Amino acid sequence: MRILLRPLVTGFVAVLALSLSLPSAAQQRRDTVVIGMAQEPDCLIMAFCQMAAGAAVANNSVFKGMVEYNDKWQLYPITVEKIPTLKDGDWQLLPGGKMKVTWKFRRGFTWHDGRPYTALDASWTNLMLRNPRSPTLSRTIINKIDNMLVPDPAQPYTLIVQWNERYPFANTGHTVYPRHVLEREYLRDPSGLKAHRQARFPIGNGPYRFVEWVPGSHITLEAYDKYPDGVAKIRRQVWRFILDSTVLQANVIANQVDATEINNFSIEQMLEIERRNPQQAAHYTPALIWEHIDLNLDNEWLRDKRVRQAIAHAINREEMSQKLFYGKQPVAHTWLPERHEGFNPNVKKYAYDPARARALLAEAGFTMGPDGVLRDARGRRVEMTIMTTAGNAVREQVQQIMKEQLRAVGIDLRIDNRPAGVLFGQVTRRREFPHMVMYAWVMSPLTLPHAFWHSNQIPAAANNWEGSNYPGWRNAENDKLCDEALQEIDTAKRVALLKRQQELWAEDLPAIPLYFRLSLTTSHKRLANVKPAGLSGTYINWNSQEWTWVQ
Amino acid sequence: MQRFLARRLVHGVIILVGLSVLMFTLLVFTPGDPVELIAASNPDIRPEDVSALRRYYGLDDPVYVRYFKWARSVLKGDLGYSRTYGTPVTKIIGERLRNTLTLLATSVAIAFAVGVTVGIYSALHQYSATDYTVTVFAFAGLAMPVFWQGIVFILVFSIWLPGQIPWFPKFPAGGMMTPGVAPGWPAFWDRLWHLVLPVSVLATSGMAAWTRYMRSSMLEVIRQDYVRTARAKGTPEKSVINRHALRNALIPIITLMALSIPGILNGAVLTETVFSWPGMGLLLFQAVLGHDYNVAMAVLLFLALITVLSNLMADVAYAVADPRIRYD
Repeated sequence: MRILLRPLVTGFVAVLALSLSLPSAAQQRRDTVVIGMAQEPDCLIMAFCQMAAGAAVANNSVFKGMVEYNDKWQLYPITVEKIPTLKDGDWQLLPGGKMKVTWKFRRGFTWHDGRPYTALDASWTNLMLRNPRSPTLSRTIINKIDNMLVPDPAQPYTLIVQWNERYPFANTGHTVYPRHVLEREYLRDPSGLKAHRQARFPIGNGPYRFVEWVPGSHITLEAYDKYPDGVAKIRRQVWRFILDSTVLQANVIANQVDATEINNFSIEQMLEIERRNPQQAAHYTPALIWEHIDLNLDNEWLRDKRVRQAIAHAINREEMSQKLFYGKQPVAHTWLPERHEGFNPNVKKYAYDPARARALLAEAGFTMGPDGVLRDARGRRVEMTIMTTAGNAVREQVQQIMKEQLRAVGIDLRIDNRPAGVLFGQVTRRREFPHMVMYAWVMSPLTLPHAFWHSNQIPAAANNWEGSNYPGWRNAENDKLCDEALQEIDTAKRVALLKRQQELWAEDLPAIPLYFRLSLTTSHKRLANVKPAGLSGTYINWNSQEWTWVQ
Repeated sequence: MQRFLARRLVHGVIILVGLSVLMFTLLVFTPGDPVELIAASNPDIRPEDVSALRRYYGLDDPVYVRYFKWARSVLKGDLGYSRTYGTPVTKIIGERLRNTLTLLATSVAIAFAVGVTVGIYSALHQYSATDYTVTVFAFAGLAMPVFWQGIVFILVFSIWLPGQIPWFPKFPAGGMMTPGVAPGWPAFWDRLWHLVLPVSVLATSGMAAWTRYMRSSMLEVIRQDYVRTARAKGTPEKSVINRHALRNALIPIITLMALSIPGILNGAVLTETVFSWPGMGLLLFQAVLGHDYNVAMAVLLFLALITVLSNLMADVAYAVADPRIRYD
């Protein structure tokens, strides 16, 4: 008995001693910042990979683009001298709807192996990405470009981009990868590029250079000594992957991570962090995330505009915003968020008004049945199905509230949820939802209505399921506005088109706008200069070279 | 014995092949495939790109063709390529396997040591206060779901207790190492320190079960005639327990241990997920979510192999430990 007990006691004492001998997290962290994420990147060549986690590490720390957005959502030049404009003449509109944009690259940027970063890398990257055999995820922008030229290869700091059509965001820069690193593999087999060493151990041009990736655990980066805009003030940047958001939250409360991004936190979890650990700041940043319910306009009930409007009147969105989000996430009345340049505050709004909802439904020919549920003209009971991502607590709460409120106007709501992979992989893309589907669109300042609302973007077998107009909205004037906005270079004119498009949208209501989600991030209060931007593509570390630890 | 072993090995191979067909089919028929996922998250992607990607990943072939392609390369020792990580599966599995085995071996060793010790004590002091306490804890340990216990342990040992008691050591809330720790001894101690919570969680259920089994096994043995005989001939009590009773009581426990390894492995999948422990379990979880078929198949096949092998081990161990058992 005693023989067995002794090693147990010894073990316990050893563990305790061990705990006291280890340096505390705070001591270790003076020259390190640890950023926690609820996701692990798939790879770090973002033209071939899809996960936001990879974009956060690669695009904001290891690489720096030609131009980027700051926290004010203004474009600013990084590796180029200036942003081309029509006024300065370095962005020219040519006959036949073509354009020419001239970029001047700054001298002094180098890849992390010391080789110069030039316009030749940019023009080569364009060739590589447009090759049909390269595993490029999206060629939408590349196909608008005829050519990228470097007029003087001896002075490779001027890049001329020849566009084959008008595109309002030709000043947002292009992807640039190190030619000298990738070219050999590219010439051998472009389809093998995703497996290139660069995807796991990238050589970038940003303020942090790549050190190691321990799969399932973390990525370590180190300040790049030759970064021309000043060496990053914190020596090491560590990205830890903690997939469970509850466990990630515990790590924030225990000060074991200094900042979080892509954390899957709910507003409640954020409030809990603030309550439990006053050293951690919770950032609630307005973003371009639109939570909504698509209505299937091919359904015979929902085809009637009055039914759609009645549903909007029947749901108390204001109360949802107050009760579920403590008023932090504002009710949406249109599909573009307030911080988007095209936002229109003066669209038709549908206030909570069950009486109005009942009147609209009666007008549409529905009569009340004996069980308190409406009957249509053919006497069928009005049962509708709502689908969303299974396991998402907030969406499930919204569904419960909706079920009750729609029942009050005589609509029997059935809930039928699917895992996210199924919902987005199949249900929305194939329009397999009978009535309603609730999810969010994550937009960017470049978002235009075309992909979401043009009638040629309704996915169908005939067009190989292309497009994101899942409700199936068809409106001739809207189509015209979408087409025009896609090619309108003049910001004021484009904004006017977008505003008109939203008026039409709010009147026709192909989807029920719910609310605009915030981008939720955290950072330690002693970590100075953290400025979350709330943009997809511009993560909390967009300016991490300026972060410092203060006392 | 040899014939028995050969027969069992053949059975094992048949079971593994059957399982691989079943798992492959299930994975392939999971709704949504990797390309659908890519397309869904990228509104700009064009149908040509989607079909090119489908061809690239070989998703257009019929299921049985895909299975045979996969099986052929596995037989050649090539587990294929991870779609997510862009590296050979063997390379990923290698690192993860070591981490899982570390977690597993430590947990089993601790669970066995504690479970057996406490079980014996409980049996020798049947119906005492200690016995009742142990029983209560054992049932609690059996009843607690691993993922719940994991989160509770993190909350208590990483946040709550260090917050209440200033000198209380702060356990890491997940992870396998402190990034940037110096190699050598500091790294070793750091790894050990990160093992404490996940191992405690994983060891709890095994410990609880083995305490119960050990207690009943021991109770049965100490009532046997030969134990009474040993006592009657004046053998010291310590020797009666250690030499006569314990050895016999351990026989069923050895079998149970081998049989419960698959269960502990299942627990490891959950524990690794909660503690972000970069092992096979976490890998499986990520691979299934990301439709990374080659990785998921490799991990599942490994789990199946361990299950088959530990069952075999149980049979063999039984024969070795108990001279009354002979197989033909």
